[in-house]
Amino acid sequence: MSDPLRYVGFDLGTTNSAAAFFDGETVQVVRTSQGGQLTPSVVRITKKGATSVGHKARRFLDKDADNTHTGFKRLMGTGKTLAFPAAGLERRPEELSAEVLKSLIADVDGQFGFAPTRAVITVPALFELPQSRATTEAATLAGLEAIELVQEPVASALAAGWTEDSAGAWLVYDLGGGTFDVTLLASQDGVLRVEGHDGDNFLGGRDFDTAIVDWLLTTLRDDGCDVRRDNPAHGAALRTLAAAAEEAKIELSRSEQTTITLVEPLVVDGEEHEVDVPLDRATFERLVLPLLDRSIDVCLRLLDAHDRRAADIDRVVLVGGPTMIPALRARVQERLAPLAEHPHDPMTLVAQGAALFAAQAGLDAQGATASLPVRHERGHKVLLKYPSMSTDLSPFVIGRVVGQADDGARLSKVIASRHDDKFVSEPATVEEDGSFAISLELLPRRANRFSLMGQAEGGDPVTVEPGAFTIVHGLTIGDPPLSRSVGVALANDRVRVYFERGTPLPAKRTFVHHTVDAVAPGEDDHALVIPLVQGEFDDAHLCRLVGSLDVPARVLKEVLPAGTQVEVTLELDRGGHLTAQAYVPRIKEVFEGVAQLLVPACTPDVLEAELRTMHERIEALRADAFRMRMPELIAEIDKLMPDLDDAERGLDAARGGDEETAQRARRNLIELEARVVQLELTRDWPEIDSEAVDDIAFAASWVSSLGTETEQKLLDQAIAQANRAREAMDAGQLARRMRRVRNLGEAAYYRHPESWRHQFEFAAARADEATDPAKAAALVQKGRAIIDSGDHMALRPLTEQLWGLLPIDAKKRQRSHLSGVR
Amino acid sequence: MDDRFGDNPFFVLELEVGCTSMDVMRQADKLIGMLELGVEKAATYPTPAGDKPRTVDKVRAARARLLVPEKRFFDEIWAKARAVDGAAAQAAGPDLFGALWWR
Ligand SMILES: Nc1ncnc2c1ncn2[C@@H]1O[C@H](COP(=O)(O)OP(=O)(O)O)[C@@H](O)[C@H]1O
Ligand SMILES: [Mg+2]
Repeated sequence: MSDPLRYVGFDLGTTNSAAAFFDGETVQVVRTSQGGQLTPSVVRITKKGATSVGHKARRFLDKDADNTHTGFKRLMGTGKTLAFPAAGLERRPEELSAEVLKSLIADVDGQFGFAPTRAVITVPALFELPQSRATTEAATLAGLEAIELVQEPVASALAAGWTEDSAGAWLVYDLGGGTFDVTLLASQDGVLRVEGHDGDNFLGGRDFDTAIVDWLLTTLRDDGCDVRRDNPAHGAALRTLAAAAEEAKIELSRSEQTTITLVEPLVVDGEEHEVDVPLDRATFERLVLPLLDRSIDVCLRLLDAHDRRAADIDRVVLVGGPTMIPALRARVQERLAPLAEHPHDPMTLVAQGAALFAAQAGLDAQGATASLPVRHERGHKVLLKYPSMSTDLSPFVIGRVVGQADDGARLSKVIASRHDDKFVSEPATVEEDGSFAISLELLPRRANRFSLMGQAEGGDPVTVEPGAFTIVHGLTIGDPPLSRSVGVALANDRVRVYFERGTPLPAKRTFVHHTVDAVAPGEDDHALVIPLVQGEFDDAHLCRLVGSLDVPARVLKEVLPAGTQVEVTLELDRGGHLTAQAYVPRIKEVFEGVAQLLVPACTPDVLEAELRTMHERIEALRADAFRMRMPELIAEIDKLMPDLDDAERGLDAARGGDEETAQRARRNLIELEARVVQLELTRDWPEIDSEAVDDIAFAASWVSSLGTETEQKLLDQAIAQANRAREAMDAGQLARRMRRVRNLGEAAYYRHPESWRHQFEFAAARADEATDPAKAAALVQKGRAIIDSGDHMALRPLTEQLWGLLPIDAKKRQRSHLSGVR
Repeated sequence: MDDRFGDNPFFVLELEVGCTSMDVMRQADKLIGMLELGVEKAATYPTPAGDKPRTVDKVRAARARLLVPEKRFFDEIWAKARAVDGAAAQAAGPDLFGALWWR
């Protein structure tokens, strides 16, 4: 008797999707009904309302573009809908993804004879919370009962690590149809750990097609065929050319030379043009080299952020269609590191890893209970706990007796034996409380099945239920790490970080905030706004708004004065779903429900305004750089210009009505802004540096007089690190490292008996600016009385209250996503 | 506030400072199994300041920290510090670590 292990994983890709199946020993990619391994992520709905998915739909991408959609993964969680005018229907991206999933589920059923109800689905490492939630929704719509999400690079690394020895540092380089992701992983003792991610949300195979089309447009223009990107009337012609360019690109991965030809002549402004243009590999490589280098620069940036160099990387795992391009493989090896030894299929590696992860998560494709045999004889009932997948070759199985056998004999010992009979455990004693622990030995990289046997007091064999279990040995990953820090935006444009990047999920945390202004009962739905943000910046406006917890005025029965306590609890589950709760002790009310977690839609107008601001900031920066005679800074500013031009072009395309391109332009702008901030910091460097020197001196003197020995050691390290950032003139890194120096300094400073008196005097001096001057004055008076009594430590809560009443700069407030708390 | 001293991952997992990642994984899996089955002796762990309750969340957090070399380094310092200046570390510990990791 042996219940089969069945694990299913899905790679829900932007361009292509795939499914894989794992039985504990081998991973198989699921065949589609068409006989291939990939299902294009394309959905078409006909006039009669019939839905088709995959290859069948893909054929209509340019013939029936209006009723055929792809790339909807990038709109997940945006609240956008896509129109299918022929059928008169609208579908949300989640619904379209569900169609793709249904098709994959049917393929599993076709090949293995069962429809999975539980599976693992992969998501990009840099997916934001709303997007992860949308993926779960798609799974539910497709009829899946339980799913786990795993990050694509983690899946890739798990799959690569399943077939080759994995120790060391890895880069997973995943270039898809429209996105680029790179992940740094470290593998030690068979445990895989994500060290960091980076990526470019808008770099992919499609940009290679665009590069070819741009080249083609100039060639055609010479022949008098003038196709323009910014002319909405040329949309169909451009789509046709893009499809031909993609074919040529794929062809050039195999051969040295190809010809871009169209079956039918291209119709431009009513005129017909024959297209028949030869393209050789060398020309293609010249066109795409800047794109390849852009991807590699992202990799180097990631390494840099983790204090590593390319030489430290042991192998690169290539994932995604464009990694089939020979020039790409060559460039990666030249500028980064050797490729993984074992040949992996870059198109299906993610799905394979998802299936392996299902084993680790113990997510049997049809529910664990379905595979438990029905027994008639009754033995001792035990509950067992063991890792369904283990890196460790000698894990434990823990058990506890929950029911006696019919014959009533007490269970005294339990023995596990492996099914190849080469391993039998030591008899484990059943403790007073009925628990036992057995140390096992596994065979590497396979499913290890064990039988359990019991012994009664006198040594007679007795049966235990369940009598068998299986542990798969292989590379495992720790709890899924959060990919971007999550926190609450504060009114002073800072962020209170709840969960740092890398926090193992699930996680839950509570912090106390205070309202900035009084909140009155009334009609306002957003009387008190608590913005939830995601990102790595200290400044709230640089982080992404991913949701907002709003307290509507109508639920209030009384005015909440400024400084009212609000306890905010954020909770993230394994799949990265966020729930938030605010408790206001003063009125004993709980507010729940995050006001829509959405990736904001963006109109060309909004984009244009943002672009204009960006232009102004860059010009101001340039003027300062000239004035201050900083040629390096001017050079760096010049490097921003191509991206600004790109964003400008994106705006043009967005005017053509393409929401996806608009999203792309907006995110490019966000990234651009981060770089502008970096340069502004560089401009302000002398000031930042001298401030750092002051703070280091402050910390050093306080820690040397009032710190512990350990604190002194930590401070020495922190200062050394800060000094390295000063030498490198890296303002961003210096800011992060100085945080530690300041914290150590402050911890020592606050041990001084007079410290709170000083802080009190500082705050008291500004009391007349307070939001509630009467209350502030009362606090000051109370404080003076405390000082007279000599109990300086009692000043702390009072001073903190006083701080809470000091006003916040309106401009900062505006930039902090209108946060109402601090 | 978190008790960074009493919640030192080496205490939570009852492991020595020199243990390997594999020891960490094995011990964490074992403790989680015991906690999920309600085995009493897994429910607390000893610290220099007395026994503390152990939860699945604490074990998972401890495992995650010890698998990251830079974080583990700090925990090693503190686990060792107890031997040298136990009282001072205990007094400073929560405050200092709050400052370091709480932000
Ligand atoms: N042999 C090939 N050579 C070059 N590019 C390819 C090849 N096969 C597929 N592609 C490109 O790969 C992209 C799709 O990659 P894929 O990994 O499936 O994307 P996604 O992860 O976005 O679903 C498309 O742009 C396609 O043109
Ligand atoms: Mg992909």
